[in-house]
Amino acid sequence: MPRKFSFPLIIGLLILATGPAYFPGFTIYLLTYGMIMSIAALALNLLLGYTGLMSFGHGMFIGAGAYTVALMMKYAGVHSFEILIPLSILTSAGLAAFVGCFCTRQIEIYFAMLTLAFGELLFVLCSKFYGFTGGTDGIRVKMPTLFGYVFKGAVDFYYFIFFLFLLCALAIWVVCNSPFGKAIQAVRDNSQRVGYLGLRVMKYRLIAFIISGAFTGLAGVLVVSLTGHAVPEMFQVFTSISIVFMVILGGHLSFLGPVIGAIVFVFLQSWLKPLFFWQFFLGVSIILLVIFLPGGVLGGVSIWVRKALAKISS
Amino acid sequence: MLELIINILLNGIFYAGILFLMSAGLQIIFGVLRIVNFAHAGAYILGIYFTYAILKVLPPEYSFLLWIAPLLAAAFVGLLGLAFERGLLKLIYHRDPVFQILVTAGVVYIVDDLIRFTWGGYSIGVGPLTSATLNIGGVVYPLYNLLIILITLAVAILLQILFRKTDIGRVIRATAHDEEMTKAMGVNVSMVKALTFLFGSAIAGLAGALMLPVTGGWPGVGNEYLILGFVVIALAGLGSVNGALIAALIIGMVNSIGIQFFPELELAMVFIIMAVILTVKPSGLFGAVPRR
Amino acid sequence: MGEKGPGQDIIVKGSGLAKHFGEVHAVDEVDLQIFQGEILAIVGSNGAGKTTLLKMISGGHSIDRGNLIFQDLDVSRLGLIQRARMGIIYSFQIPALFENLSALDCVRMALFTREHKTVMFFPTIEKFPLVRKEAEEILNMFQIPKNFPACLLPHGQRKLLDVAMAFALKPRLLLLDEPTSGVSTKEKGQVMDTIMPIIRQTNTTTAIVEHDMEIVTRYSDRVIVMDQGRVLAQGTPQEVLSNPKVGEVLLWR
Repeated sequence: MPRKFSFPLIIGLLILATGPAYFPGFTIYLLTYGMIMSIAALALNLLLGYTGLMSFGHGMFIGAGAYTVALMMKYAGVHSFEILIPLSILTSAGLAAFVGCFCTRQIEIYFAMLTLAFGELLFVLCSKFYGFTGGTDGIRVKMPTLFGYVFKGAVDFYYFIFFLFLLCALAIWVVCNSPFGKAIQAVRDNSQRVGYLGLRVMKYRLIAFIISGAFTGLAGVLVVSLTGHAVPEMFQVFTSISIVFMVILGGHLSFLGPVIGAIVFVFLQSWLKPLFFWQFFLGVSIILLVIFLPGGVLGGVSIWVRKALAKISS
Repeated sequence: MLELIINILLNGIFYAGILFLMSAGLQIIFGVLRIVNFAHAGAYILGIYFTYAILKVLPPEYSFLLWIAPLLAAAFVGLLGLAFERGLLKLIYHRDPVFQILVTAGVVYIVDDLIRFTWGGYSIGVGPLTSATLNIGGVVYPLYNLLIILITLAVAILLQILFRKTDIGRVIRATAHDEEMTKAMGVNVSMVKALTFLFGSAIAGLAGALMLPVTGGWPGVGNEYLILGFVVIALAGLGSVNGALIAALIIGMVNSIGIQFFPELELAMVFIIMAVILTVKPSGLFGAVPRR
Repeated sequence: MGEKGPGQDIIVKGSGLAKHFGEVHAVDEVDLQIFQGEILAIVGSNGAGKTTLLKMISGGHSIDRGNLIFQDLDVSRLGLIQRARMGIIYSFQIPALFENLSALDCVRMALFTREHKTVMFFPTIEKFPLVRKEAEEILNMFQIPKNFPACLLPHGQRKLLDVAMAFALKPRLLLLDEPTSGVSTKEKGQVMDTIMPIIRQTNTTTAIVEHDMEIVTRYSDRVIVMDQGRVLAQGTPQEVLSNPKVGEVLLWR
């Protein structure tokens, strides 16, 4: 595995691996949440950074994953991760295939609007069919078991998430660096040329959307297991924009940017939420970020360097 | 049976009217600035709350001036929009659409919380300008709603006149069509953009102002109409105001029919129609593929 | 078909090709043939319809009238994606590159496409040493540095990269749209000296739109001269140049 093990990456992984030994309980909770959202952010960046598609409806996959768990628990008595995870991935992928068929045939701006709209549609449907879905109250969810193992505290769940996080990050990394990964980057950079090579652009966008949706659905399963409550708001635009913000915050031009962004965002949100008007601060943060640091935490420097180089040589 | 049809028609046209007001602004803003303006939800909600504030402040002796409130509120919203465009939006014109959407969405969060701060998080409401009703073919329909329909129609006609007959309208259309060319011809494109944003926001503010007595207001009320506005402009094709009128009518009627017969699925029905039409004609009913 | 031209097969036969944009007849009743392995130049003054004709072959422009036969198949109604799959590969006048990808990756992308490997999710591209080797060879042939992102390459190399990507697909018919446009006069020769020997060596059938008659004379087997959408003359460069009508058109406008 020719992976570039850079120094900060190793340090970061070490900190995550040994965290429970010295971090307080709430930090562990936040790190767990952060790693789960990292999976969603990486999945979104596969679409945004690598394929060049802006989805403002990714909340719908979090919701799909979460509600698959909730509904299976409530109506089918299924309580185990080993069934819930693959099942949720399937439902999310299916949803992505369905929604993607409409959205990927559009140009990028329509794509953003339509994914947003589909997310809202699911939110409305989820709220309206309250007999089935519990409506705006949502459904309470107990922590699922893993091959019979019952999670006892925060720490063992933390390591389970850590393991899944590593697995998903690796999987997404491989996809990003596979021939398919190059293909979607080609689509992002010059979709016209891709057509002239003889490839159907829509096919690649759709597949990327499905993969992205599937991983986000997995994140949905994990989120609902952590928070214990599936709510319709998961489908909503706020969730979707949060994920986009995480990606931009960390830097959409690098592979690990979204991970940083997700973890930072989770902590940021936990500090801001108790403040009475935290939406205001969130809005301001978004605007400041876009204006002053568009490449995010990781991208900031490299984007200036590249632009400077381009200016010199053109 | 006739009453049912009239009911559906009236509700449909009414709904279409508000959707048109929302989407017309989005269309002209997109046409000239090439930005999908999420902040439009903010314009809508400010229209509601400004009207509320004006109505609350207006002394009873001047209650004959009540009808000015929506117009005044719309004007304020327009001015705020202008400030936003000059101050913030201008900075991100040449940026990636992702960033533009994020900034305009961020504004909505800010506006929502500012409203929460000023007026509290509860919903507000006022009575309509007139509680009179009209009997149309057996259906008792609020006069106020009819007034809204008339106003929307007036706006649609005014827009037509503006774009076809006036110089400003021509300049706006030229800028939307080819910004570089228009700039080369000596037009102050920057000012055109500012005016367009002012105007578009004002129309959205008007929509909110008119709807205040009908739905009331609460933080976040603009989101549903924004989403529907997007559906309308996607259906119409980006940039086409006339298309927005037709698309708004289609969606308004579908929604109205849906509410009557499949109340659970009304929004879903809108989506189904949109999905069908977009599958057949991906760039919308009247859309040419825009430059981006 | 399988008609033999001067000792060669005809692989492209266009009859009565026409395209108009509103009132303008960009291409007007054009018949053309392209023989296997030859280099055919399409010349004419600006607006003569050269690029339009080339795009009608590539699929970039639809054919309003007439038909186009490629290797015994009528491709007139086929879209550009299908034509590319059949081996009709177009190289752009304004280079259409994958800007954020390195030159190596641009060529690799073309190679993966040729090998039908673009929907492979694993392994990573570094596990394809043969693809890498071939990409590096192609880049060497075209003298393009492999590690620069496409957006940072100087103009001449961007033009070469565009051709290299088309070439990597092992086209049955290579369409070059003004490969030296925008390149300084000094460099034009270099660019063509790089591209043409590669084409000759691999016997790639090529149609090239070009302005510069010197280049055309040096490198092409046959020439079609277009004027106002019609074919004015065709033949070997010598034949065409000695045609007085051609001299008028090319010198005056």
